[in-house]
Amino acid sequence: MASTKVISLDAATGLVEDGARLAVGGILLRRKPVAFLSALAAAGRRDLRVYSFLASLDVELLVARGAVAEVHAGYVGFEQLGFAPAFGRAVAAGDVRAFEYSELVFVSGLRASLAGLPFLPTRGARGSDLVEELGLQELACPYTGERLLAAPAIRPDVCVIHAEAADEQGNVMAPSTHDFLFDADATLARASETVIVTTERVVSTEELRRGGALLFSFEVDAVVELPQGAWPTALPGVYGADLEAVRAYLAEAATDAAAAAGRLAGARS
Amino acid sequence: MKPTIDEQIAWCLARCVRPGDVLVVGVATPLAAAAAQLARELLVPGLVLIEAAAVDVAPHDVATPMLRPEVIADEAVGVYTQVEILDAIQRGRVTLQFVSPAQVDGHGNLNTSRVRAADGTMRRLPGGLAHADVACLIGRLVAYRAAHEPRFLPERVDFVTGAAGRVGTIVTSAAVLAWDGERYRLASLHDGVTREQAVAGCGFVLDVAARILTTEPPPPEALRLLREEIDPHGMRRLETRDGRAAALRELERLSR
Repeated sequence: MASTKVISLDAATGLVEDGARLAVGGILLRRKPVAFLSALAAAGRRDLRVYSFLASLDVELLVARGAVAEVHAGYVGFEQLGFAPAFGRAVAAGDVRAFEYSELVFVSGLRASLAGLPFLPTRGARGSDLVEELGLQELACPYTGERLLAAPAIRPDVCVIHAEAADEQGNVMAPSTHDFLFDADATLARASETVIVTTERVVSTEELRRGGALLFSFEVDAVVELPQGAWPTALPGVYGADLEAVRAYLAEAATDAAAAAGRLAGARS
Repeated sequence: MKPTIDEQIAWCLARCVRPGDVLVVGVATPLAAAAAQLARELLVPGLVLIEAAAVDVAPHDVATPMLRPEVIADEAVGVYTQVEILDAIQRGRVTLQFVSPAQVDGHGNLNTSRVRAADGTMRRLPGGLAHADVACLIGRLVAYRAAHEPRFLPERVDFVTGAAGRVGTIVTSAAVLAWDGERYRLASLHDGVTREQAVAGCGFVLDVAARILTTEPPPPEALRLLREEIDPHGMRRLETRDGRAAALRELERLSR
């Protein structure tokens, strides 16, 4: 039996260096590793280059606490609840550089990384002003001449995701529900150099086997037990999103996002 | 029963669905979600409806996916993974989407990324999701918004999120506009709207024929379905200026 990968929250945040390319799991207001990110910001991390497919509170909290240099995402916001206030202000002020991706360009970049390739051709985003923002290059299909975009491989230094259960060896239980993009965290993790999993519970391999695996032990570097680790975002099948807490954050962040983000970090019980 | 503007728009969207369509419903568009179910109930029973990557979703209250996202997945035939849904779009297997951009211009370009503020600076919006992709990959796009003003309908978008070419229809709070290959023409006016109002609300030159139809109002059965079964909590009004605040309070009440 391999030695345990379960480490403390402090030790896990230590795996993320200033300036790191940090991939953050979860989709919109679901499965965001909020507790880890709050701890990372509290540890004073700076100049992070964050990759988040569809971001909400993850990017917002890191930006509010001054931890971010770049954001790479297809969306940063709160759907019906509104815009991300700290993110919007930081980008407007030039403090954070934002790169907007189309979903196909982002996922093609991850898939290139998964396959060990430098890029993947895509038919997405052609003719969009995002092509210039992302510096995407065109290429011609060598067989037909069709013009395609080359989505460069996305290879984050560290990825953090939140899951319902993992074992000591680093096997991660698959989501118990098949909600929107329930599998996205596996793609993001496998594209990254180092993978940190925060989890509601550390369980036996026997228990984990019953739910199936999202990631296997050799694909995971660290496991941190963090109950309620996605709060106030949802962990589908375990707890729903706390929209009141999100709304309270957004209301306070309209004037003082750093204080609001700090208060949210202290409120998880 | 007189329809509210969100109900009129939902019916106009539903009328865009054709037999054989595979329709994908995107993020944060409850009005589009309501229209898709309306079309399947009353117009195109064979419609393949993909919502939040769940394929062939069962009839449901449009508030449900906002509150308990796992429920529509459980009640669907199955769920696409992240890669599967995007590849289905990429290989051209999805034929229709209703999109609600911040701007759609006289050429059919979509903008969901950033708009120019009165002081000239660019104001960043949450982001385009897959709009840049669907704009060049989905069979047909219908752009809609409960507005009819040059800010929404400019001559040129402030930023091209999605390139022109697929937006065949634009549904607004005043009218339905249809692409004729070179420009948008006024296809119909909603009840009580004048052609002068429709023209004034466009930042681009609108082609207007001598005789203009009145937009078909939603039939009583469509209104009943919307109000009682598909969207009893009025989540579709999250996408209207006047109804948004009340709908948001209702959503928060439901989430407790």
